[in-house]
Amino acid sequence: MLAININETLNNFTLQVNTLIPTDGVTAIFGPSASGKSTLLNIIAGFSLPHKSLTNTVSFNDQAWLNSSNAKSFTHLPIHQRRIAYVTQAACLFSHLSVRNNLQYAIDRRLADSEIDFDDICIRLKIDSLLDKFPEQLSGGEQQRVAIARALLSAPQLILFDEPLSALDESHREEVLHHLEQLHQSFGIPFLYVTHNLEELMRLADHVLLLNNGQLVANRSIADTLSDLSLPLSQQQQSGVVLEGSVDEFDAQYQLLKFNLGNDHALWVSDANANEKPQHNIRIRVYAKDVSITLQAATNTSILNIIPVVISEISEVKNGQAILKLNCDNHLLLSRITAKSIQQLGLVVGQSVFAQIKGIALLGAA
Amino acid sequence: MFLMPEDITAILLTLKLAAVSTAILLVIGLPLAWWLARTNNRIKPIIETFIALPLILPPTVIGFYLLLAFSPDNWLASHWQQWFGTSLAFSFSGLVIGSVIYSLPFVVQPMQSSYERIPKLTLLTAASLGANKVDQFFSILLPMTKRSTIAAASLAFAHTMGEFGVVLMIGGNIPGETQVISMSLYDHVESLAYDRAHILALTLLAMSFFSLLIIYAIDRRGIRRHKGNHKDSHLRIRHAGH
Repeated sequence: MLAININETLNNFTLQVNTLIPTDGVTAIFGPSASGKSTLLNIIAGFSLPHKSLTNTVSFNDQAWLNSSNAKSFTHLPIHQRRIAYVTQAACLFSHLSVRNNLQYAIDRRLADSEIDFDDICIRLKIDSLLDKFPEQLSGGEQQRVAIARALLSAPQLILFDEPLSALDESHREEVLHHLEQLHQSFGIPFLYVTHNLEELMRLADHVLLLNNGQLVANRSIADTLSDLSLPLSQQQQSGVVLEGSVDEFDAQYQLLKFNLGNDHALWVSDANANEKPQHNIRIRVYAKDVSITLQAATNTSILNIIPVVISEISEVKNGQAILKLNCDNHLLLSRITAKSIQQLGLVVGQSVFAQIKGIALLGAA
Repeated sequence: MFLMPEDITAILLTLKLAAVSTAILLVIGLPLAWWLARTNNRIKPIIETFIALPLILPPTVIGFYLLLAFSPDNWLASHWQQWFGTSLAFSFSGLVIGSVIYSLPFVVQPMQSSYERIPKLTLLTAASLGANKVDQFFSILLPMTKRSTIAAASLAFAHTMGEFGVVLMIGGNIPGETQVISMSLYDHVESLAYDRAHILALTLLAMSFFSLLIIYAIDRRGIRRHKGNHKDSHLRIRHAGH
């Protein structure tokens, strides 16, 4: 557990976060610009020191990293003793060292034994052909992959990411995001990931700390955060949910995975790259705009996925739009339809209807 | 026209003085420059002012105060006498102390701005990977500012070689101990030995020329190699003001 109690005031801005963060998987710190995300991350890392007069504590698995709860005893564990790694927008590679020596720099300074292997990491992040180059010879995406490899090779107990994709162009963003997805939970090292990008949140996060204007709005699982109609995420244009689960079968002819929803319900997910049934759980994303409602299950339609659901919540958005929260065997979906449709179909909370799902994206391993 | 033995002694002594002073300047100056580059301490401007003073003060002023500090009734000088059995005034050690103070801005100022150009995040990243402050200095800071360091050291070396005013005040003119090239040269001119003065002047000119040539050559190479996004940017030689 990462326990934080931050009460920091900087030029009329107050950051107030008192919560516990799980230390497994990826916890995203999400919020609009200037909501205090990076400030929070920097205090956790020890990169910035909060005011000594205010109560600020950070402890990682019972190890005190910061304690300024009273002016007399001020604890601040030096950064180099925290066993953390930090990946920022700019890759911050050491320009005077080759890629190999940048990686070796981290290995040489490990504070604990680790099974994280140099060759394995280089192959996973596809940097094995770059080892003898210097940072200035690499593209932005390559630099960021090396920075992630270096972070992993230092065998940290926590990796902090500060918007690591925001300085990359679209193609490099996708490439690095793909690698981060693959690394997701691979080494049992928790990630704390600052972003304001909903796509990154949906693809990477297991857990979300939602910040707004320096205040903690929510601290919940990704599924709960995305599907909560009272939170601003559900109101966004690209709102939707992510679901995690196992694959029951693989239809080789049509390249479809059968995603298990329990109780004989399933979703067919297209996977162009698959050639057999994946053994691990997968994560899929369903945008609210891709889910429509019918009162009877249509049979003469091109839509593959039509499942029975119960309407558990209805929320009016704006401009005549509404968001429905749908429940199928405790899996939650969102549907964005017009307010007029709600009135015409006479939809009410508790009603059993059918959800037609037009598109499902396979995000990666869960 | 040949160098006389006492002139050779003066040249060797000058080189020794410049070498020892430069070594001490690096040991003191680099950590000081790093501290100045990072600190927000309230006394920072005062320290910076003290370091910059030799740039604008006549060397004789520094020499005068050093002479007072070195006089045997001063606590510093009397302790030195107790510990090392020699006096500071009119000694090689005294000259080294004078030279270090006199040339300190030539090391600290360019290195401070060199260190300020290294992004804070680079060092914080090193810290997060497990490097403590000393490790950061040797593994990141020093190699990243290698060219500036060599240039600053060359500048300090050249500047120390040419000093006259401080030596005049605190060194006296003892052959083999404190008689450096500039002092010898002065003597030769005083005694109208223009031939010998010529040779010494030319020697000092040549040595200074090559020290500066090294600096500018490093500077040029750096600009060519790094084209813009260089962290160890070229060093500007500041006008010494006297």
